[in-house]
Amino acid sequence: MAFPISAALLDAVVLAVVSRESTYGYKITQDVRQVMDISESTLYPVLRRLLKDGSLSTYDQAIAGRIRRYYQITPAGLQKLQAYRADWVAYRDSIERVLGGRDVNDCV
Amino acid sequence: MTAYEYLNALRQALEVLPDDERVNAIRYYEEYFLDAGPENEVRVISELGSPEQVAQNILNEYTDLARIAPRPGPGGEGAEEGAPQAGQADGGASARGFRTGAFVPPRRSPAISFLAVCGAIFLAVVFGLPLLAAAVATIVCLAASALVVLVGLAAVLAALLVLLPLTLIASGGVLCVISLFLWGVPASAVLTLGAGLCLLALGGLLAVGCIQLCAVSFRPLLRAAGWCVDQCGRFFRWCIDVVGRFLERLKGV
Repeated sequence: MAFPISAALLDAVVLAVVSRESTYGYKITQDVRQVMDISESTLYPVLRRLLKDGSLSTYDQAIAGRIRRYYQITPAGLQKLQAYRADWVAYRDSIERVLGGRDVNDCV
Repeated sequence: MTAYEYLNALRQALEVLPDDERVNAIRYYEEYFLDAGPENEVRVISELGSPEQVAQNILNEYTDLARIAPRPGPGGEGAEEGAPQAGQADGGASARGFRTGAFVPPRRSPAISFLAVCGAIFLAVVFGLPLLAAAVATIVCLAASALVVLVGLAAVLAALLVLLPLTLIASGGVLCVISLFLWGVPASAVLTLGAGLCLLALGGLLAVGCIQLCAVSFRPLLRAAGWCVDQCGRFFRWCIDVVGRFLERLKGV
């Protein structure tokens, strides 16, 4: 894709994915890869960063005879996600205004 | 490469991280492989990239955290008091990143390494070769002058051994002959003759002693000379051996 994926956008998408349900590393990667062109090794550093700044937390759960580490969003993460959502809407709208193909004066 | 080998390689590549960080990362990828299922193992390995690449991603993130750590966290209260407490306000996250970040060694780009190697070779050729040549020349010169001094000493010794008895005998003979003309004053003639005979005797004694000495020391001298030649040969063989090993190591690199 011509547009680079910024760290903030990646954080926002990961927060959004995790906010839907508690989930685990492999599934988060697959979910994000459905909407963004990222390599499989991109997600661990992102998850680690979000854990460190308190946006996510983990818990371990036994599943199919082993322990799986689940990620869930924290209240701080939800707040961050809200802020990202607001930023995204503003960003998307302003870009859309020029790039969307409609006349600039149409939408004020 | 199997998942097991992959994880082992990753563990090695993350050696610089503190234990808990490395364990977390390895656990993540372990679970990743388990969740992907054994049937996807090959695909996951090819899509993840090399373990070194994955490790590099993690280490990059690590150094980034270390860089932003000193900044006041979002929960900091006062401008003055906020800074020192920033680490705690962040839940210790960035403070830990900062402290442990010191374990990450500075990474050099391949281009810089290549330049460094080129520079080293250039310096070696420009300064190293003349230095080496000068060192070799100095050693050779020193050895040669030592040899010359030794030869000179030997020559002087030999000359002394040969000349001293000869001189003594000659001067003794001359004194004896002179005494023949001094019979006018018998006392001095007797004295001169006595001195001449003494010198003659001394010279003869020395000559015999020298011949004896030469005869005795001939074999040991020969043996010493042989030993010297032997040692020189060994030294040269050692030099050739060292140079050969050095060349082989160069080839190995």
